[in-house]
Amino acid sequence: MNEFVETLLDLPWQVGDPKPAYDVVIIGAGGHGLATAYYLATRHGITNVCVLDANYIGSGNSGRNTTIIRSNYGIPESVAFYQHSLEMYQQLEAETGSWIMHSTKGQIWLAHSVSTARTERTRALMNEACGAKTDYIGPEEIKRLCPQIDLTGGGRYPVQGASYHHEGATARHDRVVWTYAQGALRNGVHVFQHTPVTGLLKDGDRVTGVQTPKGNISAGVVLSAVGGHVSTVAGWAGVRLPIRTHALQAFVTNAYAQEFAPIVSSNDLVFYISQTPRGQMLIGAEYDRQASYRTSTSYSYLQACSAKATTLFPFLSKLRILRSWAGICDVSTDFSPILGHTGVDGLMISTGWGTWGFKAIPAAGEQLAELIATGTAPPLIAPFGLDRFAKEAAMADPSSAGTR
Amino acid sequence: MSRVVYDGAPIEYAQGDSLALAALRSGQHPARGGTLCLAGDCGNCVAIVDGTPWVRTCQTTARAGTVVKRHPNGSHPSPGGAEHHAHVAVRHRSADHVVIGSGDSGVTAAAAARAAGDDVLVLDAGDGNEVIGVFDGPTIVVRTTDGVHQIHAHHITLATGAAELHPVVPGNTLAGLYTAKAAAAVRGAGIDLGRTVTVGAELVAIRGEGTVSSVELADGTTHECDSVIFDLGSAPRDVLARMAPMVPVTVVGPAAAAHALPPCPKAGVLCSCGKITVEDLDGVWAKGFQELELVKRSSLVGVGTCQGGMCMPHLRAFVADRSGTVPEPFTARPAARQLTLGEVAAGYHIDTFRRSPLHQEHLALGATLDKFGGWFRPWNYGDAVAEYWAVREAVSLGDVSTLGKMIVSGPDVVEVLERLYPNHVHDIKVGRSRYVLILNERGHILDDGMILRDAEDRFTLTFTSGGASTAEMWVRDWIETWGLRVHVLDRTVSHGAINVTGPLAVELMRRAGVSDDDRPKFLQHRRGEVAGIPCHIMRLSFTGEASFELHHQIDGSVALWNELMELGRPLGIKPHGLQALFGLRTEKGHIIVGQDTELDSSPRRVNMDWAVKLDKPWFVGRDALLRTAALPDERRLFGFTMEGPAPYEGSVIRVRGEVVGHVTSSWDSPLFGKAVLMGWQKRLPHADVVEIDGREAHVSPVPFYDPEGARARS
Amino acid sequence: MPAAEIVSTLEILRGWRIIADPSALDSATWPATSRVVRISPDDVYVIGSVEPAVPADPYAIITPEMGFAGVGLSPAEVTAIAQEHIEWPLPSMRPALAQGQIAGVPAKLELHVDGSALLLVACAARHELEARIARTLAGCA
Repeated sequence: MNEFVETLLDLPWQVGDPKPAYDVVIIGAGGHGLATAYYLATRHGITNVCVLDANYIGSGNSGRNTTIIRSNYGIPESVAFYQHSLEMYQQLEAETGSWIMHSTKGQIWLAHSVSTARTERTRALMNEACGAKTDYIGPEEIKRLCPQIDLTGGGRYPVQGASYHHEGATARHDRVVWTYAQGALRNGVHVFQHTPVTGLLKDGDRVTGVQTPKGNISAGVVLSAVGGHVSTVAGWAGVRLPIRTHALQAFVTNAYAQEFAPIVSSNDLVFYISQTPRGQMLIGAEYDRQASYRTSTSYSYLQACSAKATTLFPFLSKLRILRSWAGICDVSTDFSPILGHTGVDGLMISTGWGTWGFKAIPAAGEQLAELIATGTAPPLIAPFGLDRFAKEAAMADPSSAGTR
Repeated sequence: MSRVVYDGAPIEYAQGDSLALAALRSGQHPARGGTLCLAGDCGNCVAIVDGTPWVRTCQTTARAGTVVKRHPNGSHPSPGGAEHHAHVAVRHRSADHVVIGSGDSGVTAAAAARAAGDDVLVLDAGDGNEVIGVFDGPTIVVRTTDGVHQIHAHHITLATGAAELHPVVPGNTLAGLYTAKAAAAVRGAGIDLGRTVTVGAELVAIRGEGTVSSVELADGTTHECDSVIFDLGSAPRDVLARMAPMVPVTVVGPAAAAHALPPCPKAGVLCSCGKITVEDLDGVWAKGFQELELVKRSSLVGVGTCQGGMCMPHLRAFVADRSGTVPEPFTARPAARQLTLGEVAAGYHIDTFRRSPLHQEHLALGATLDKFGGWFRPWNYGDAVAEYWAVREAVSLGDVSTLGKMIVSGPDVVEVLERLYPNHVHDIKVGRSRYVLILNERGHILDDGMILRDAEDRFTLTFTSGGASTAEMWVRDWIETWGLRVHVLDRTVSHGAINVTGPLAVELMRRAGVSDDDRPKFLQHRRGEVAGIPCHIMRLSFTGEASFELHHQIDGSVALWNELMELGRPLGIKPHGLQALFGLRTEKGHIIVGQDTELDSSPRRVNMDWAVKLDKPWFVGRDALLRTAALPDERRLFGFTMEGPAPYEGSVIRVRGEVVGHVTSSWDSPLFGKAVLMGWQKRLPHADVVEIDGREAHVSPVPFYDPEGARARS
Repeated sequence: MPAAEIVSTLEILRGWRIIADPSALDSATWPATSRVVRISPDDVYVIGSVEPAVPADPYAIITPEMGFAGVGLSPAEVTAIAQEHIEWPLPSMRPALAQGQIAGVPAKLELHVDGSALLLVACAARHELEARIARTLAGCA
């Protein structure tokens, strides 16, 4: 027995097969799909909702990420949206009574050159102005927050400064998924695992439901909360998305005593590290350059990450890599999410989550639920509509990823 | 006998002992308890070896003086000290065929491959070659006695045999428990196991305090013993084959056997790495986590040191029993055996920082160097303001060797350049040049630079320092795409470039042997000797002052620089670094792509419509610009002035409290005695007075300095 | 900030670079005293001070090339560098030109019939390659 065995949450599954019709059908039972269902039920009383997944709940990127929650983005609209999500995460345990192992750690984003110090200062200034608590700090403060760091960067990457995002946090990804699944199921939402959607039902130009091996299901609104193959789903409705999909790899070490407090990222070296509640050191970097749907990992990636991480944190040299994995990231051309209407009646979308989907789960779910319930995009997500690309109003956010 | 240090006390070992055997020889369990396989399969013998935690002691040969510490009881080991890792050797090698495992099936497979003429390499952990993982390539990563080997193979045969099953019964975490092969190995090493009992599926429970004292069988009998030997069958050891789905691996021998299911376990620790019991699994099952992956994620069974190697058969039996469906084993994740980050990082180089041919001259002049766009470049030489005044009032040298440089030549060269650039190219006369933007297909600014016409069918192109690599790929890619006849030669690292700039630059050029007749005028260029070095002399200006960019073969860089410094001494010459340059160009309103532009900056957003000729039939980005030209633009780059000190770059710009943009360039202008800035501002609501850093700032036309450009032309 | 200087092993090479149609390069004759490295079908690097003749291509780019540094490697050094610093398999035929990352630095190896080779790297990255292979070359001495 250990504290990580799930004893608090339960999943009160519905009995039987999907009904022939629901008010809302959500494709994808990951964090985003389940959170949207949860907020439809709890905020808007819409419970005639069905969430479908080709695999088990949380089997996609919700269970393959690095569990970081932060709002230190580069444009006002993003900072506001992610700050709202960060604050919802802070309240999620109180709201649901579920233990998601939320831990505010603070995120240090290091700069090792004049030009990246400028980037980090810019991040801090923009964050402060838009409601995220981020300061620019110097090497002494960095060393105080993270004593394990080698400030000389192995002699090659001397630390010049960092932006310090006070409210950067982590939470256990699976428990976030299950918390929303539990809440949705308890409110009467249906969640069907191993029920792939194979096509969309259409009436003229309007999407009216989905096709599945368990039969056709009609719906007032279909929401695609698919990760990875979103271009395929959108393609069924004739919607072309400015999305490219890339694999993002990460790995953990064996478990060690809790001695590494913050989340640390490096702008020049492009990697990030934190210690999980289980004691593992979790390390990741940028997504693979070539587009792909693969979830296998490469040795060269392990090498690059290990070299970067040990350069700044020599103690890691003696730690052992336990397992590596990959998630697949849908990256939009402006590195911001795409939320809401698709231009096709009856079909809405939640995509473009790149490497920043986990941290957005509460806010995106809440805001999309409001959009579905009211038909109008709330101000927090209104700038992130698909139509922005046709309006010359893209939300280019160079700070969106922990990656470039 | 030699000794290792075990939990602070010396213990003796026999030559060839693993650390686990050495512990057993001294009467101790290498960890604290749990069934031992001594084959590297389980995680029941891990300890801290010479400061590295989580080492399988059964796979580590005892050497005199090795220090072994057991992990702390009930908590995790400390990650330890902050010293850099010792050097780890790395070897790359290739083989036609790699056979993993040198048991019977491995020997047979290797012989067959050799008979077919293959170069065969056999790897076995018993010979000190512990295979860590099979990765794309295919690349096999092996920990050996002399470092980490990466082996590149065409064929991989997995002959790793089978792993003996461990028991899942109450008491299975005691000491004194062995698989049959482990027991044989222990006895083979001359270690007495005391009274032993060999049991199979009839085992119900193991009793004892710390160490086994008896076993209880299904028939109700109890048997006293000092050691228990298990005969529970085995599971194929095929994790390496399941690790890299795209890599074809042939599995032979017992490793290829079907995964049989043991009886469903009833009680006891099922996952010995995580100490997770059958009761735990029943708990999560009752909560609704009712398939293999959900059981795994909700209990964390199977994600410890052995990565499911030991518990998978029992876990599958559990899920099959509860659900009625036999699940497939879950995905194998690298690494199969743990490797330290120090071992993985060995031999890897994160990046390469290039040096200008003038690197040593900058150091000698006291420059502070920093990394910009993959190069080490002078940030300043100690006093950026003095460097600034040298440019504005005398003459200065700047090292611009890092600029992207390219020669293009061919019958279709004008056609190629007309398509690549949004400005006109055909009307650039030989000996003349033009500033140009490079756009991507979305009409967003990718880079900027100069086009210089060397001959009717030959041009020199320049790009920014940071953008040069991308630009080279961009140009080559388009030429190949179009199938046009143009030769390309990148000169970025072959040519040095020195910018001679300032009101006395003309005089310095004179003193360097460039007569007034030979001196190119603004936006002209020509070839000629400067201070005895053959140069391509270009007249353009980033600083706002008269400037001569001297491009030359890098073997002449040092001589040219030093000669110009010497000749310029009576003129008050100083070199300038990037810090002064960034201020100088800010005063001129010249953008830096990537600093003053964003990912989606179209030319009009940075007020550079003049560099785009939509009347051209086609160029990259034209379609997008035509489409967006009709749309309202959301934001634009503006100039601002305010009282000093200059705010940080990145400071937000507010209008009536609302954030409308941010500062991209900021400079305390010594000339104007105030701050000059550029920054983004949303179009609406536009205001002429804004707030930056809590202070008032005024929108200002750019350039701030010499808007007519008279000084650059002089 | 700069890494400690190490003993220079790579010399700056004087030579010429010619970009021209592949057929023109195929039919060209090069100065007898020069060493010719065919970087790609349309790209020749001629090491030596004698200016090569213009091949039969009016658009050819012919220019001095001082951008490479090079060092000759013995067969043992080639083997050691390949084992420790090259992730990709060297071509099996000789002579051959191999191009790729060596110790993480873009470089070229002109492999000769006798097992020796000429290692080429851009001068701007010479210091990085030198530092990274110094231990290996010292081990061969």
